[in-house]
Amino acid sequence: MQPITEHTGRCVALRRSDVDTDQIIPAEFCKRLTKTGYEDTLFAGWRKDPGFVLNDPAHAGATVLVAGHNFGTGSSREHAVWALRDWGFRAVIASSFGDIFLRNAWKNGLLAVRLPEDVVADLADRADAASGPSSPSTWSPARCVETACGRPFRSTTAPGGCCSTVWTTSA
Amino acid sequence: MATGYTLAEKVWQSHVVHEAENEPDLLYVDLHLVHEASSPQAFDGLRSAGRRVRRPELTLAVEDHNVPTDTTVITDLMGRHQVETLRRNCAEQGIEIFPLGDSRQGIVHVVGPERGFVQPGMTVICGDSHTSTHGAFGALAFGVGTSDVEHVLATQTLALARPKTMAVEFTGEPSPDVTAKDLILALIAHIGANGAHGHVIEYRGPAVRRLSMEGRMTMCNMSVEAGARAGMIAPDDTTFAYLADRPHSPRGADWDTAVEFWRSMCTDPGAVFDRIVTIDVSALTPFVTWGTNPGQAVPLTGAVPDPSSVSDGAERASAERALSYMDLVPGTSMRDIAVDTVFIGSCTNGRLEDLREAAAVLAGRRVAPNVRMLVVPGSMEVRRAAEEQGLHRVFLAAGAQWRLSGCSMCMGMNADRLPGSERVASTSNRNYEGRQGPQARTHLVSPAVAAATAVAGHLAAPADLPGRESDAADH
Repeated sequence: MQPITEHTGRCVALRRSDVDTDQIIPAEFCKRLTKTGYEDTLFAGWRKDPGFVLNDPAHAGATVLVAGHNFGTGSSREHAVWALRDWGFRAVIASSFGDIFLRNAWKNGLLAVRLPEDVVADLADRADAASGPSSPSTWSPARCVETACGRPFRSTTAPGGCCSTVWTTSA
Repeated sequence: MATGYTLAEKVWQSHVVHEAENEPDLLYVDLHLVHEASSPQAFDGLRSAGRRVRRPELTLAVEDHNVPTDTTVITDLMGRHQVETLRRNCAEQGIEIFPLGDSRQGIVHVVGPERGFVQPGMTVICGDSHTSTHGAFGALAFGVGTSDVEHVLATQTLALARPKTMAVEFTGEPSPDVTAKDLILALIAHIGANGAHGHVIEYRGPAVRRLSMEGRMTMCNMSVEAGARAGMIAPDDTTFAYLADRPHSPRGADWDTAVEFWRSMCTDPGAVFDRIVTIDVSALTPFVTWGTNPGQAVPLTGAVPDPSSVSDGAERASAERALSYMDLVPGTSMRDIAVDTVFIGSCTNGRLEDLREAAAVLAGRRVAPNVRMLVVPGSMEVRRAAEEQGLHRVFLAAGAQWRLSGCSMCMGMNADRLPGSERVASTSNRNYEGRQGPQARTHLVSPAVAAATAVAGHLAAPADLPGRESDAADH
């Protein structure tokens, strides 16, 4: 596991709520016996749509996924976290998460960041604006966050140091 | 101020083996259920760390996710490889396994209880979200991912943050056509697909007390669809009657001691829940889902909702997207929605009582032309018991398929998947996009509604059906 203590990366907004782990990785890909190599499986169903946000070259290389509430609901498949990680995501920001997804994210060093709904919406807007071909804007909302450390906390320093110490994003 | 403990707190506290400030509690695990889909990487991890399974005798493995239900030969190579890997891992670690073809094989959440492995006051872990099922016995049962499976295999413990508690009080007397499935679908529609986030639910009230163990398992099974960490029901005489004489239940004096202890597994009168939700079920009617998460449900007598009437922006967008995927028009009567397939089975509704309810509707009737109906028993033991009661003859005479046991069409991991954008009335637990086939459209229903739908060809309750052929012959 690659520990995450600080991360700077570009955001991409997935403007959907209740994104379940069946969407993150369909069950057919959960027959594999490995813990790695799932980059081709992430949102496999939705990626068949050329208009799906992750198919947009403007978002290539994004490492932070900004999503609607209740992200990762449903099945306990840890493959969902492996797929996000293998695609290149280091963090997911949402106003709420599925409980089992949170634990799985924690176990694999994928930072799951809970922020208030309006802040998430603001981040999503900024991510969309920053991805335009002629708008290479810079923004860095350093945020005090609540992460999935087995117990939530609101601090820039994790008690016990299990997850992030400082969280910054910039485009 | 609390002067007692909730059921969840009692079970939790009696399993803490280590606690410290600012750390999650370390809980002892009484029963670890394992299946082929979430375990291979866990066993690999164990091997690469040079560890053994700490308590193989507290671990039980079954094959369910990948198995076909029309044969005992797995033709899918990857599926077969996963199943064979489980067999090898269990042989290597001395874990009991109920493999495909074994008379005890079936869905993990059906097999565990029916063999008597799951008992009140236990902690139960499985690498599957529907582990919440086992809370029906007053056990504290959590679904976990593969890393946690490995942790339990290695240590028989799990580090967990103490959950919040939530009481769901069902008040009023439900009408006879309202099943456990309708109660839980109505609850999730009421509180939302994440409405119990971070909480262990305890289901309470006379309507819950009257449920059979099968009904209680249906209800606890879908706790996770409300976002709950677990669901529980305090054990009572119904629980003890179910457990009596199961292969792994205590016997003789041990039984008496066990029952005495089990009776203490209830919420004390002075206990305080973090949250209480009250639902009056006296006016409830059968519920069905219209959307793509289990919270998107309405009474069968209702209509497809209009997203423009939803005030919350995210919920409105979600509803619009769901209707587009489901190819439904707002205002359409739910009863006017025609289906291609009906699926009865899964860890939610694949038990004997579920099959009996479906058979009672189907007896003397036929599945509508152009509708395919699969009946998949939750375990081979359920199948045997159903055949003993002649239920299979009712299904076959109606034109339904009578299958072997497995997760089947609940979750799109085996051969039982819907082609194209077929629409299905399903007794399973998730109506997600693509869950039952890449473009499948799922309506979650009870077994009785599923059976009536199969006959009518569109979503229907048993009361909607015309008389039976046999009734007509009588006049």
